[in-house]
Amino acid sequence: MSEKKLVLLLENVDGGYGDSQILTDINMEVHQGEIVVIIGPNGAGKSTAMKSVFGLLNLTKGKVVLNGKDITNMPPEKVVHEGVCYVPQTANIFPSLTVQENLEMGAFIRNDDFKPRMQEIFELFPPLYEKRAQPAGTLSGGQRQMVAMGKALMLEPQILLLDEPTAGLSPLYQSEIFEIVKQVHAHGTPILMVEQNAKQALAIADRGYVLVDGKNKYHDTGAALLADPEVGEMFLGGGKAATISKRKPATANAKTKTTPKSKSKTTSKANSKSGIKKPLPKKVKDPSLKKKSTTTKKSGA
Amino acid sequence: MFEFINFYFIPGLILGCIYALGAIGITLTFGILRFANFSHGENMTIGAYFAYTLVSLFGMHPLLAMPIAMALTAFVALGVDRYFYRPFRSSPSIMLVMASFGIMLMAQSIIQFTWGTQVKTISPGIQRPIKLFDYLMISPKHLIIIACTLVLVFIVHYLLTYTKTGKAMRAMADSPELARLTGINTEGVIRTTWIIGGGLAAAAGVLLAIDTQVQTLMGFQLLLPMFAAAILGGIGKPYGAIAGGLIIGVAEELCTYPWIGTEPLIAPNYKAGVAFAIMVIMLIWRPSGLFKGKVF
Ligand SMILES: Nc1ncnc2c1ncn2[C@@H]1O[C@H](COP(=O)(O)OP(=O)(O)OP(=O)(O)O)[C@@H](O)[C@H]1O
Ligand SMILES: [Mg+2]
Repeated sequence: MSEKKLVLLLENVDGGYGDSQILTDINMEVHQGEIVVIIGPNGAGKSTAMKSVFGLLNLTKGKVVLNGKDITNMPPEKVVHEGVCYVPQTANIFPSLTVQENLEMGAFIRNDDFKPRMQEIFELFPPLYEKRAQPAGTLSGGQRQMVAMGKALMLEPQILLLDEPTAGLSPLYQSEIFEIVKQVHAHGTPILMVEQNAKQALAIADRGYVLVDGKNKYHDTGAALLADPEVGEMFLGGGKAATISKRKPATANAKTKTTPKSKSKTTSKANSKSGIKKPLPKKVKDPSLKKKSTTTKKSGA
Repeated sequence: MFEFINFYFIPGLILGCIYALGAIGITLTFGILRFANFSHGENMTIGAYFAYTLVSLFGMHPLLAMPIAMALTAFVALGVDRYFYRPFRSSPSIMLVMASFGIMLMAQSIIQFTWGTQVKTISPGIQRPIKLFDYLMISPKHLIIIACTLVLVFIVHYLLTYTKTGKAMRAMADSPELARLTGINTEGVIRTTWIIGGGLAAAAGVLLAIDTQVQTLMGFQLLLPMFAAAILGGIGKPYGAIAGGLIIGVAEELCTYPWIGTEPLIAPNYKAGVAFAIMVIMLIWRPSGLFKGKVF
């Protein structure tokens, strides 16, 4: 992966809202052709990390680089012009506009003919074609998520940021959204996505980052994280994972010193070795969590 | 029956048309710029005075003067936005409300200073009502008002439904934050909002002047019913504002009909209270209005 072009880089980023600092020394990379997943407990700062790319919060330190261009603290309307499209976690469609109008708004900054692109989007999301004349707010949750993604894809972005695209959806829709993410990726768009649904997300991810308390905690290939027992206990315990993370383990974890190193080196080797072996906080509810962490073997992607 | 239609329903409709045109601007600024614009009435007043000036200086027909007055008022609205509202773009909306209140007072003084406080008129004198079906009577100026409103509403409908900027306006009324994330040119949308809101307010002012007369507080006096119309329709919903305006106009007039006995149900002097009552009831019972608008 290191030979792939670096699309997005967050380097030692600190940032937050107003006076409150949320992110501390965040490092992240997305390369051409990758799906990168961010997981972590509620309130860990996953959405905030994503917003930092999009100029939605004040970065006090570090930098954000897109395709070699420094876009640190660039306002969102400019970031869009740089080819980054972002689907927020909530309020990500215009409910009173029709499905088709939502897609048109997605193409707002395009001055060329975007009809063919819209056709492609409708092919990717067939249910949207049938409902194209309906106000998007009347659609089901899954279909609204499709509208949100379709709207973002209208620009044929350099990179797509998705914040919990499957949150609150039925399992059927969740799988469908993951399928679509794979398809979009197969068409060559790198994707950075936050997911609660860690198991499914890591399964399709090239790499994953675990954020805890606003800091990088683990970082490895998707497969390696899936195989890592610690990560497994924390986030992948089937139905339990969701329950645990909903209970805000972030606070419990807050006290632990964070991985001193997770400076992501561009080489996967460095990555898999470094991040993974921090002892877990004692406070986490599940007793099994305290068992010795094992090194993730790098299951080369 | 015909008396009811001729003297209550039609005047209510006329009033409703004027409210509707004014309320569209209020609801758009409310939805897109997120503040209650107290100076909106002054856009009406100044539009009427622009038309009066054109009519009295050049002997123009009021209907010819109307589009020019609309353009001039839109220009004024853009200027006010540039110098008084834009600096507050990221401030809490209460600051904008207070700014608009100040602009309202300033504009009233400027209007009084420029044109004097004397009542003026631009209507083409007494006209004989046109009789339809023997009993139905409607005066030509009322026909003009209804026709102008229909044309303007159609234009607004076209803009909002079929143009890129119009769709972006509705998008921004839905969610300004998402509009920004989507790359929508929000400043451009805001300018269009002022052009449409200011222009329609001026049209409402000219039509009111044609119906009655030109005076310095004419817009201010309609502010309350226009707000009531915007709230009744649902904040940020232009079609709601149109419906709300018509409903409130008609309701105000119908309340003066002698429904019980021979006395008006509500003395005409108090009919402004009807709009107020409707507004309060809506805010309590269904704050999102008839068309599911924003709730603040
Ligand atoms: N707009 C905001 N202003 C101030 N603080 C905020 C804002 N949004 C989030 N926060 C705070 O930042 C921290 C991180 O929030 P964030 O939304 O990034 O978490 P998350 O990892 O995305 O959680 P979730 O899984 O619930 O989506 C939280 O403590 C939250 O309270
Ligand atoms: Mg989040």
